[in-house]
Amino acid sequence: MSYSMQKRLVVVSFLFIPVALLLLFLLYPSLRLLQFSLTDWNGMSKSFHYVGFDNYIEAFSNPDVWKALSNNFLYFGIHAAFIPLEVMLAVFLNNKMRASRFFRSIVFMPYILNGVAVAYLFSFLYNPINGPINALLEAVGLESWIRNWLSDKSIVNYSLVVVSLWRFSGLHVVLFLAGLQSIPNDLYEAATIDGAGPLKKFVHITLPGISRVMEIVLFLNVRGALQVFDIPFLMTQGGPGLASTTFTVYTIQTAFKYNNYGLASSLAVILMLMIIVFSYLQGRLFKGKGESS
Amino acid sequence: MKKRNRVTLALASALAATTLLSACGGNNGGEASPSPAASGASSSPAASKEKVTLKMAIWDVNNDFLTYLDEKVKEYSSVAPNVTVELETFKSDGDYLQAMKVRATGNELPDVMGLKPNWLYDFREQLIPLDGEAYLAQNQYADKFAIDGKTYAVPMMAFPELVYYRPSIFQELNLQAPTTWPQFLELLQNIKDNSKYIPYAMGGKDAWPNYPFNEFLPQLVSGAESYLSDMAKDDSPFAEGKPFFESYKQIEELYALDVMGPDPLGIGWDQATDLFSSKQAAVIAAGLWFAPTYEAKVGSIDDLAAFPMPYRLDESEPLKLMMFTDHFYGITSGSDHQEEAKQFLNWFFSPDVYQTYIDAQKLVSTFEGVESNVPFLKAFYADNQNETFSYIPGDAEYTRITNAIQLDVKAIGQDMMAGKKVEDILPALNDKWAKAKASK
Repeated sequence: MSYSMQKRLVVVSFLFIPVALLLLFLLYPSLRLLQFSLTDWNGMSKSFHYVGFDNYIEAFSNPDVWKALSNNFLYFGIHAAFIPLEVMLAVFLNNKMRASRFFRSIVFMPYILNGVAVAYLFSFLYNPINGPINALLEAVGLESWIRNWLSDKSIVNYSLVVVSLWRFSGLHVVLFLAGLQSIPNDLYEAATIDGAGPLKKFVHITLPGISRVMEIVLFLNVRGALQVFDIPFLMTQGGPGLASTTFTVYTIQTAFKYNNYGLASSLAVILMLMIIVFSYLQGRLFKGKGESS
Repeated sequence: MKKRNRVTLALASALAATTLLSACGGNNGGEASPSPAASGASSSPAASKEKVTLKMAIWDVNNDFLTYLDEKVKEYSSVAPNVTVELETFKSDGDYLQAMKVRATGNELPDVMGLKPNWLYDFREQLIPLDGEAYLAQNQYADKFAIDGKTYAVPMMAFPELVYYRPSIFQELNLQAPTTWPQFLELLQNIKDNSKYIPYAMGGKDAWPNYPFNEFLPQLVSGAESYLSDMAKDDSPFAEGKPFFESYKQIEELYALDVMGPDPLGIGWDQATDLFSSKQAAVIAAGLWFAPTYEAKVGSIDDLAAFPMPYRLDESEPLKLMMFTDHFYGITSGSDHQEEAKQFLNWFFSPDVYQTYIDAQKLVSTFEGVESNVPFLKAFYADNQNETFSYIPGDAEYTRITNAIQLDVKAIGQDMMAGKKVEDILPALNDKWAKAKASK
């Protein structure tokens, strides 16, 4: 047996299992998903009919789908707006302040809490009867700020985004911290010698230093915002009415509540495509910036 | 160098061989295990003594009942020593339904499964007809739920839908149980005016607690048990003047009274029942199944009474009482042990066993000759002699249309509580309905 043949055999034998697993658990379900998205399958019956692109047309022409998607964008927008704040917090925590290690773990704590527990915790906080938030507002004389946090259609989504922020910002801060700590100190020392102030150092050393992390955080934000599910599902079940329904909640309900697996599959395919497109666009945006600076 | 390569190659081949062999071994084991059971089910009587495990699944909110059932099905081994019944339980019907749907696609349903009446159409392909079984003649409701003349599942319990109240509050405020819709609204308004109690405890955040109104009122107002299936024959069932529209106008009046506490959409069912149990709220509507929950919370049912949903506009019409049948049991068509499952159901529905079931449920019996022993219900019937109105789910066409337009009457109920007008909701539904109906 020749050397290259042996090499090939080793490679193939080592790769066989992971590739087989990948095909079985990733590629095959994805292909089936694509197939189902072109059918009227109800999820249970043994037969189904192909309906072409009807499900996709239905998905795009349904105002409820757009409403759900607009809720996702609210999560995306507000999370994105908080990224500068998260960077600032990471910079603070990176400094040699007192008990910074303690604060770092505190900041990360919400992320490691169970999502269901977080949802119940906030359901309790927002409770209209004896709820702590309303009680606090009353105690400080801000009764006029008291709202129906989870039942007012114009407020419910913001209430839920706050929960999402509370839960995921810590992760972003810790990622930024890791990025900050990977920047060599020499750069800052050199800049100090050259007479750069804190702002200049931040703009010209810190920000470029954490651009990789920024890319990851933005990707997590796109993926997270488009897939947000547990918080609205557990806290409001997408209600009142459809007010806080997100794309994933809508998809799940289409599949399991209304037995329309065909439409639900097409929604899942659309979601997958959206994540790919947005991530690609974001990547392009960042690359452009990196090269120009 | 070459030697090292050979060693690597030998190691790699050994690894690959082991993995492949172990995978094959696993496969063999997997394929081998069902075969004796399968042959046992189909062949000679000697082989039928082989050990059989029947899987059974049910949901219930009541933990005590689930514990009872788990113990009870184990007793079957003393009747049929070769059969063991394994019970799988779920706390919520929603979780249960989702799990069963997923299993139906993988042909992994349990041998005996519980169903709600409105799931029968969805699961009928997965169930075998039970016609010819002796217990069917004894069941008072099963034939009402037959599909194309075939009975696929048998209901184990029934319960009236009630409006509960705290008699002590009614006494304190000098109020009477209402029998018409205007009286009902007036009653709630009076409690509100007094401002000591929340008139009605609505857990609107969960959506489903508005079912006594948003789901059942149109059926009651229509007066026809087949109302849902009839809807499927109508191009515009939500039009003005029809039962749906008229009953929703009634509900709108109720929600507009603002008698459901400071934020009915902000609290869920558990909180609503807490308000009622702790006597902060005076009235709550639910099925008879709520009485045991209340008793567990409060400790006694001394200060609990109920009246039928007073949906009628005046006393000239008869007041019918909505009766919901539940816990249907059927045998799945994918089961390898259908004969054993049939024998098990014969035992399960026998009067002695059934008596313990209905007593554990504290609900109404569905079998002739078995009476449930529920003091609360006896007291209710002593005060209220009403004609029964059975909840009959919509047929296949109704299910198809409602799924296509994603009709969720309870979510509409939430919208109405949030202030949306019936006139802004129903015309759009009519359009969607007609379109979905036509697109067969």
